[in-house]
Amino acid sequence: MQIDQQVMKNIFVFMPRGRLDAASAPLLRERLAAGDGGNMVLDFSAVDFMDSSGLGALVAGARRLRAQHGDIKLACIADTVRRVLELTRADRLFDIYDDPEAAISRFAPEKSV
Amino acid sequence: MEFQIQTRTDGPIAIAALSGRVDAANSRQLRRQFERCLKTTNRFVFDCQALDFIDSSGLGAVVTCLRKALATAGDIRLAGVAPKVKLVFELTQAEKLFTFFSDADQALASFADQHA
Amino acid sequence: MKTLLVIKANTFDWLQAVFPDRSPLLASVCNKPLLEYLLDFAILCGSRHFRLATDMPLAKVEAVFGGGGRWGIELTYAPIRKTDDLATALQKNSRYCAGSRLLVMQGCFFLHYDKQKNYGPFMQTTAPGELLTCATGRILIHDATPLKTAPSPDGSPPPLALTSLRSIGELYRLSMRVLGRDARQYVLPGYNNETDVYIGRNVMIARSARIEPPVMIGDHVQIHKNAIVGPGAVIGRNVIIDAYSRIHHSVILDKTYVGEHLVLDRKLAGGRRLVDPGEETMVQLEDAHLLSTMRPSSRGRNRLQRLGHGLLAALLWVVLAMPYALLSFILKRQGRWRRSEAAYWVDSSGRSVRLTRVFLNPSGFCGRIAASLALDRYPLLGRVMRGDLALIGTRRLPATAANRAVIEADAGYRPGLFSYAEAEHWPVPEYDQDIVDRFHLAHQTLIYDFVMMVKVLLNKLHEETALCKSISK
Repeated sequence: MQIDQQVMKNIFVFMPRGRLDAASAPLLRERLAAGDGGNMVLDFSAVDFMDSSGLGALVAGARRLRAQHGDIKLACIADTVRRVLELTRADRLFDIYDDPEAAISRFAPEKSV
Repeated sequence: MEFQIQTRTDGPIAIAALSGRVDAANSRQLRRQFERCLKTTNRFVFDCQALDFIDSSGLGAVVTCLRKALATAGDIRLAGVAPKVKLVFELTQAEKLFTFFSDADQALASFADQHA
Repeated sequence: MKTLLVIKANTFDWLQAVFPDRSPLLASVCNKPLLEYLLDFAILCGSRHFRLATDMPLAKVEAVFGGGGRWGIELTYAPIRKTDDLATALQKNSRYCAGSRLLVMQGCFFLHYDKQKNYGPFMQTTAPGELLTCATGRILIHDATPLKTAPSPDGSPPPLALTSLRSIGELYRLSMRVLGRDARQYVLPGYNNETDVYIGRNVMIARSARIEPPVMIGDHVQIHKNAIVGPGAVIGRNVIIDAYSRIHHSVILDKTYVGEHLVLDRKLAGGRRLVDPGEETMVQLEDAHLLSTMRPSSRGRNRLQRLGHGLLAALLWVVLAMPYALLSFILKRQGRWRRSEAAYWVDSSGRSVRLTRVFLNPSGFCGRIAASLALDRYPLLGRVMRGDLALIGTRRLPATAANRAVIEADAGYRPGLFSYAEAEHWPVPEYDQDIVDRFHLAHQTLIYDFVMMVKVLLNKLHEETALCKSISK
């Protein structure tokens, strides 16, 4: 799996491509950890599958970021990913947008990486 | 549950204060105490103000008591039955068998009216 | 034009308080979910896209409504959070909302309309803004591009009204009203050959039973001998009305058993709960022969699984018997083994059992072996063989009222000797563990469970040897 990275308006936007599973979870975990307390948007438009390892990496990364007063928002999640988030009640932990730009604009302007 | 005999000019009336639940656990006790009082009087008021819940065995016991009272031309009148308890009476059609009063005094008074 | 329905769990608190195990999104008036009335209306307005944005669980709704193919529309779903207001919900769906006229429905209400009227032109020409409002919700029009010309009203607007939904009483009165008066305004489920009688599929009505219109009967209903249903009866799906009972001006919710010789007049009944909608009183019955819930029979699959788990547990019981006897004896002497008992919830029906808990100190040679073989769980193998516990499942929850509420809300509880999270080395805190457990529970099969069991045991072994190594360093 590959994770594209952009910076828009001082926010990291990560776009993982492919499956978020046991094989790719460590990579995601690493990228989220490198965020260093900033704000992030994860664009899921190229993710077609997520299992518990992927979910675990996501939840752990979010928790770490929030402990450092950052935050993470999700965008463009596919139905399959949405169902995983919902059945595990993990959807309560995240703000989910259907457009990454809307997610970015929701971060307060003065917060930056 | 407590059964008390009140003496009245026209004869004694027994008042039973039912509280909490009347269900399989204590319905037999209800019937026993009723039968004991039946020796003294056949007129009863069941004060249900503190009654929270009644199930089918409790209902069955109360109806059995009623039949025994009616057999000797007596009666059991119900006082202060909470709406949620009354629902169970309505569901099982047991409400047709009884007269309901809002409190024990009214129920007691109704026996006197009857005699007059 | 597109439609967005924003609906939050708290607007249904009044319904959840009385019927906590029924999904509010599927709450029905005359056997038709409220949601479906809104879908029908959106279609009447010419909207081919409908999105449901809610903080409530979507699984059951998705199972019923799917992608909207049945109505020829595109139905999508968006999760929002409990604290989100309308503006936030719109932002979270900004891509959906962009580029066309948007009909926004917010809150919990009943929409009165007429299926024979054409709402399309009205919706296209009416000015944007709040269209209708009531105590518990409203509908509005949003416009991506403001109209270039002022709208010209085209005759009188078609009939449209909102009614709030704040209590069981209001839901009941609506059902009676739609059944008795407004049925022709909506597309109602069931075969409607005779006026005011709607009957679903697979309905068995005894010859001596009587049906008096207006009456609405859902699918898979049995009405036994000499029962009288109606006038004014709304019977849900999977309901049994037993012999000699009478249902007048009442609503019976899905999956309810109504016993013999009972009378329901101006009531609402669902499962074990009986409601007087006029007085707003409710009683929960304990006599299954009076009023109870019909449980769907998913027992076949569960039985096979319980058998599989039980067999594997029996195998472990035999294999570990010697080590258990030996090590527990030694560790007890060493003061590293302590037993206690506590009550735990066993399933979602409120049954609890007392389980033995063993506190094992995994230090010392014997302690480490005992921990790596998970001998502290050995006393509970009997429970697995009896079927009370699964061999591997979700975390066991102690029998408290708070946990009971969690279980009832989730319906994804299958306490196991081990939890799936242990197969994954999951880091505590508790929330993470529950997420993993639920994920695996949703995907589990018997083989899956066996594989996960092997992983757990390997993990235990690995943990202990890793611990050894780190200690020896």
